[in-house]
Amino acid sequence: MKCTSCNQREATIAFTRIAGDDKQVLHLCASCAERIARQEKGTGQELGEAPAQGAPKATPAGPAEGGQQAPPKTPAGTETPAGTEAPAGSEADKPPIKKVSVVVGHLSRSDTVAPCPECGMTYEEFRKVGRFGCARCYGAFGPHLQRLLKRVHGATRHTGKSPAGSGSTPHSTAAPPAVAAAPPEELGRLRQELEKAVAAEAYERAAELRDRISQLQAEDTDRI
Amino acid sequence: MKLQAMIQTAPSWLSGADDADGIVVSCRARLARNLTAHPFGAKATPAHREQVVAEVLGAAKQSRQMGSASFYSMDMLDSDDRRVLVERHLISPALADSGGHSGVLFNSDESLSVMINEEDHLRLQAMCPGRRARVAWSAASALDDELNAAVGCAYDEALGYLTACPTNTGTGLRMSVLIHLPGLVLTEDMERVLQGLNQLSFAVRGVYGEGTNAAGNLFQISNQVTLGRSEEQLVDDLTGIIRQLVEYERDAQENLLGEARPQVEDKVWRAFGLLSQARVLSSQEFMNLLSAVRLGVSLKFVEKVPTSFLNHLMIITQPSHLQARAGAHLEPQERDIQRADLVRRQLSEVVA
Repeated sequence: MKCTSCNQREATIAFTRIAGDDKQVLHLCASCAERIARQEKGTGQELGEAPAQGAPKATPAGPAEGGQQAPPKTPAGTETPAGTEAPAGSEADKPPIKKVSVVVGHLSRSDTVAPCPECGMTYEEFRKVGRFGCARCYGAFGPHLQRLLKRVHGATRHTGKSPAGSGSTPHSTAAPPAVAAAPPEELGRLRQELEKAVAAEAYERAAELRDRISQLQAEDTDRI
Repeated sequence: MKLQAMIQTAPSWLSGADDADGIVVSCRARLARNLTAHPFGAKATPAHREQVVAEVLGAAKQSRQMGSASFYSMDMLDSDDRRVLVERHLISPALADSGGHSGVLFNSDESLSVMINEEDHLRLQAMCPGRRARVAWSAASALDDELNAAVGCAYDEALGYLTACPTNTGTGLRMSVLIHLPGLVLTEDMERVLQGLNQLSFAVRGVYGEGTNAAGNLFQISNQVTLGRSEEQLVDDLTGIIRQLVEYERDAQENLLGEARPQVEDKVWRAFGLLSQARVLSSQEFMNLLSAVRLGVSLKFVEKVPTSFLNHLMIITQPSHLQARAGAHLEPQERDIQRADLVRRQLSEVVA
């Protein structure tokens, strides 16, 4: 899903702003998250609103006062105390802004993937159940499947038979078309060698081959 | 009890053919397919499932290989009948336990079967006796081609056949072998063999019994990877594994003979004696005794007892088969008595 602030880049951060009883969660890209967190730190203003007129900037409190610090982009779940007091001189009848905390977390893949347009299965559902709902789920969950398939099969491209007489694919998986996996012949050959080495109990040689196979598979992952 | 007639005959894959060493019982090729037009698994409603059944049956009727096949809807079978089909390896326990709107289609010698609405819309299975895995693959592939021509199967050029579970994506092919390895178990080499197989991405499980504690020393070994290797490569992989395992087992048996011939003979003939004379036999005990006799056949101690006989005995002594034969529900104790009785009679006929 797109960042709710710039609506251009992909959202990867769950930006939770808690002010007293109010909790606000924004899905932001990394740049907007950084910018907004800096604003939050600098002005203490409400997110998404224009700065209140005449409001003095709350100065960042020093370490002695235990005030705000911490970089805007923090590891998932780290709290960034931004404890600012209400800007004085804002609308008199507005209740004072209570102590504000900002929690920055990384959005899990489940939150960023749209459900399957055909059967409605969500990525989270799939992760829980381990089964797809229909053929179109493959296309809907596209790139996220590459990692899973790599882990399960050590490969991401089909090299076997196709339905008799099939030409075009009814379902696009949205996988990056330019990805070239390590030539299957090479991996196949190495696997055969590994088999022979194990059979001959040449375990050192087998370990070398296994490492080479892992390396080739890792190189594939990097390309994806 | 609808399956009375069926339990009298032995499936063709138990014939003992292509198994000169008496080690490899059978090979199986299983293909997972789904129809493009319908959801699968949890997203399929009963109406969807019924449509899938109708379409698949329609396609099968037109096919050369399944044109005169029998269809059994799970809705029409009681739990005992379903277990009979599980015992004959025609359906999985999952299909037997499924809620309905599912079924199985199989030909008269039970070499070809199609489960409908198990985890995938279609699970094609071809079984053949002995060690020639390619025979099973060719049969399954031919049926696959015929059915594909009649119904659209979900397929993607990049990812292959689209299955409900990503562990089957790609070829959707599981090649497996049912193999008897008493020598390796007795020489305590089985652990090492299992580790080697796991490293090569093969799954090993006891066909009867839990996990690696395989009752009767019978193991089912199958590929885990279905994507990135072609069907031909998967067949070659399994054939290679079979060749190696038979070699290892022959070596283990020779070692046993070399070091402990009298003890091995004793084990074999005691087992034969018990099978010939016991009045009560539990499943577990029967499988272990059967394994010792099968080893005796493999070592050429025991003549007159063909492996086809042992294979068939293995099937018909199972709980639901015994009940079907008796035409009544049997308590476990009664089953153990009936098992002993059946084995005694059958064995006496064969050695007479």
